[in-house]
Amino acid sequence: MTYFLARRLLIPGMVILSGCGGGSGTESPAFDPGPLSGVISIEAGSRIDQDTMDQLRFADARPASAPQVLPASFVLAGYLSGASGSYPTLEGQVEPFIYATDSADVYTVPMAPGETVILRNFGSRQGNAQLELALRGHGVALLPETTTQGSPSVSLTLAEGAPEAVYTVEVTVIGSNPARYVLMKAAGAQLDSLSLDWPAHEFVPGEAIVRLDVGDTGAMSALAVGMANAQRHLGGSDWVMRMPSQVMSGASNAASHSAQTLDWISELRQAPGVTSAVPNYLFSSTQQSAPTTPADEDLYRLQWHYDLINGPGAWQLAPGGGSGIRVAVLDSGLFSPPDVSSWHPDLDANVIAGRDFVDNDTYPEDPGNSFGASVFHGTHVAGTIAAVVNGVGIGGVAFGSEIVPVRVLGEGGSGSSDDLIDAIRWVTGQAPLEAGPRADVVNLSLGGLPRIQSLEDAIAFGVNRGVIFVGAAGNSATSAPSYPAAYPNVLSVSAVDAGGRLASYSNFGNWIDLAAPGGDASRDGNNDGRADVVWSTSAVAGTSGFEANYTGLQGTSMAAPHVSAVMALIKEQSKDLTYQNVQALLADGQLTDYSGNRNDQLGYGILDAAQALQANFDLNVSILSPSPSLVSLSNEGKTSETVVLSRIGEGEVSNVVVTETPGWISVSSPVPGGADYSLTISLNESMIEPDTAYRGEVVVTYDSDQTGRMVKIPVIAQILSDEQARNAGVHFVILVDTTPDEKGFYWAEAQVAVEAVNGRYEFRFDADDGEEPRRLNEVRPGSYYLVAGTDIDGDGIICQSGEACAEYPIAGLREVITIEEGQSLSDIRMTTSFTRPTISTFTPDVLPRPGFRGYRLITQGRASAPGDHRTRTTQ
Amino acid sequence: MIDRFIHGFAISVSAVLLLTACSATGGAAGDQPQVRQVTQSAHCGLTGPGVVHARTSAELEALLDVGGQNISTGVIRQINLDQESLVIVTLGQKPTAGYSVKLDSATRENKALRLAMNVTEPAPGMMVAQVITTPCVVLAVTGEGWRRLEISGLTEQPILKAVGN
Repeated sequence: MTYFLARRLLIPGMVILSGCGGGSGTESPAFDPGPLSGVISIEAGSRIDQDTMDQLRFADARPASAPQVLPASFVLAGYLSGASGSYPTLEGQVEPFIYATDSADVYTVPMAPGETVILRNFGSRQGNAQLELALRGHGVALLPETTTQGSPSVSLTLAEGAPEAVYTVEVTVIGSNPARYVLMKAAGAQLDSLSLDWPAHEFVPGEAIVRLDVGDTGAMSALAVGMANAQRHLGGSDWVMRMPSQVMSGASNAASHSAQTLDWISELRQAPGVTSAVPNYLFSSTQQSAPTTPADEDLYRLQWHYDLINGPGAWQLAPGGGSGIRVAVLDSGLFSPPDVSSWHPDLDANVIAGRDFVDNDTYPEDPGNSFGASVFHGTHVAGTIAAVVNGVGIGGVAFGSEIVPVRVLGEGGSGSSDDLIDAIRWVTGQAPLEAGPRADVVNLSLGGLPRIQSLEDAIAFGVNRGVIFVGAAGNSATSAPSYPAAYPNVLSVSAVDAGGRLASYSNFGNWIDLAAPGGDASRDGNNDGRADVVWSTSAVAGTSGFEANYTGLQGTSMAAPHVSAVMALIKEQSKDLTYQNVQALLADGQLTDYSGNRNDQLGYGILDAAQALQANFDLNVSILSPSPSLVSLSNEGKTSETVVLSRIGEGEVSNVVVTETPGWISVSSPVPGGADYSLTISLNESMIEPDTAYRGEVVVTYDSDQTGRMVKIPVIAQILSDEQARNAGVHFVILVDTTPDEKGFYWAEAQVAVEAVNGRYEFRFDADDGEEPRRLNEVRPGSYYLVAGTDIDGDGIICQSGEACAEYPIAGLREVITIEEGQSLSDIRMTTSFTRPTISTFTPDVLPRPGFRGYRLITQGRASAPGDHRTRTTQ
Repeated sequence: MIDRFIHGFAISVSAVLLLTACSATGGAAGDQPQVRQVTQSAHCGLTGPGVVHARTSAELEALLDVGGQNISTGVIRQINLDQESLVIVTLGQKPTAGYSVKLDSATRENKALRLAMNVTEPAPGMMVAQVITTPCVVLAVTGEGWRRLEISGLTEQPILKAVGN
């Protein structure tokens, strides 16, 4: 369907834009697809502001006066400007591109307590403009947030206790410059990664926390003149201030009282002598049962790698999480926050004395990297093994075990074999000679060494003392042995993605013992919408040095600690477990999902923690282990899934009952089948809001071995309903030459404009008929790049940040399209989006695109040759 | 401890490095670019080797919003983009730790700003952390009049990038 600009336009350069069909305004015949035609799909949830410059450029156009209705989950691109004017002229531009006034955009948004709207300000070619985000309605009036040049993103969160309802969200511009912006609201994972700001809280009406300027001795008395009453001194220059009664007059209810409080605080901020004024926020405690396993931690939802190794089943069998077992992490040391002698707060309680063989001291701190930020490799590895279960962040697979930090990798993540040999001798108690080893398991997420006899001997000494060594197979995607992992006395671990496939980088070969999740950022193996990276403890550069945080990494370095941790869980049950025992269990298929056929990619298979613990139990303990361990339901995927609860162990299992289930799913009663049970989880589509991510868990209780047990099955669900309503705004589809001119500019060949119909765009170019003037939608045979995008701020450039963009076949990975005389390419398909996959660690095939500012639209009056109305387009 | 294993050249790990500014030569007087190294990162999230030029806060934020990166965003955001622009040179995705890139020298010739980079990589047989990294260096550049970036030291042939519309 074409977009035909029949109305008179404000911008001369845009007058000649015409739709497919040569500007006739009629649909093109279906039997004549032209030399090039296709469809542009729109990313889910995409919406467009109803009064961007696409609309405001028309003569007599006015900004919309009515609120725009938005769904529960969306990504919307918008435009605002405090005044009208024209953008700086581009090189070669004849007519100016102008912008129109639109000072505010108002939306209605369904919101539930705890949900967040995020505003991202992209400014414009005219310069930066501040944007303000406000949320109100139903007795709620959150203090508006304003973007700044240093903080272009702001957010507002609906407080707990507020009613679930449709609220008014307003974006306003401060100043006269135009600005593009993206407003978004989504549930779950999307916003988890965009939680850039503190959420808003409820506050005490009529009160504010005020900090006075210490140098302004008259500030308090000035405020006392009808502006604020000091209620309580908090220390220093901080006071709890009370709104004077005369200011409150007329407040008829709590909502208006809150709104007046916010207005009053805004005035306080402008008052002389006031350094800051903030609401007196209310905090409440929520009573929860104490966390007992990593599944109870905040970030467990990101840790697909724990489900893959059957962690929840293992923690039923090993509730102590490896208590009493010491795991030495021979690595880059651990992150220690500045000015304190403790470790990452999610590790500290489980860390015991270690040693630094790089600096030759007893404090194996990872200093980061003095010439930049490191990845805090040792901290990440240690977290997978034994991060503390404390209701914060993550828990390690062996969350009850102890970490012996041993630093053998210096800054940059490199180290010497000499240090490694010394470290292993120290850990095993060989040198200096000790009665026993200092650790039960040794994790070696390092490699690249040649075979060194003294290193092999040091490991052999430890193995003879019952120490189990686990090594990362290496990331070179080669079968060449990498040491120390390839030593016969070391468990060599290759890496798999969330789908259980060998990671693209992982080494392989006949020296691989087993596989474990190491992630692969180029894949989404479990279709959860996120790249397959392993999440664990880390640190990030902050304003005053490095700060503790969590990050996702990939590598066989991430796979090995999963195995080390499971070794710790087993050792908790059987302290005398030896490396020889482990090899025998591996070959017998008792530690992995072994199919009976060893292969060079996964060795004896992917680690199965529950299976491994069961295999090693002295007692005949039986548990039910769910498969799949996480159920994902949606109307565009599976709406129901059968979960098999496999019995691990030989004992009887009885009284298998579903005891808890969210209201938005139905769960059948567990049905026995042989030794196993199965149940079906089905989505109740009528019970959930469209386009909102839901997460809950099914709890199944059962008896075995005279013990009451429980297994939890996480369930996530979403109804996607917006296919027809998706709209990313008017799209300009451009064919550009594939090689730039001597100045690096790309030239556009042809251009059409289309609008969304039924959630997608259809476009078609015509063949050049040779007649003058040549229309913009006429294309000549040749090779081109095909791109499309919006120009919501009307500056003559598409695909800028904050604007939708599509490239054929995939954004960020342009490929050449060749149009030949008399032939037709009629099934071109692209996807447009406000997001930019062009620079991402999750899309490793994509290269950075330096200097990219968007594609310039063809404008009238610019001719490089007679009859050629093309202009230059930048890459 | 690790210096003896570094291949190619000796790392000088020093805060002085961060303050080093290179005055490009060969250009017209009065608008010679000054290039200074702002920070380095072992994991800046940019997965392909190349160069990125950022002149606006929007461009900058897009670069600092890359998932999985670990970079000193605070010091980068302190840069006044009205006075300096940012050039980020990335090695792309590397299989292990032990890789880094830093500025060696900057020269100006006609419309080209030439940046010579010094790349460190693990020597064969070196012990390194087995984690995928994406090393990069962040440079701040002043001066007008240059329209093309030429980055040498990353690949066999210099990387040429036109700058500006």
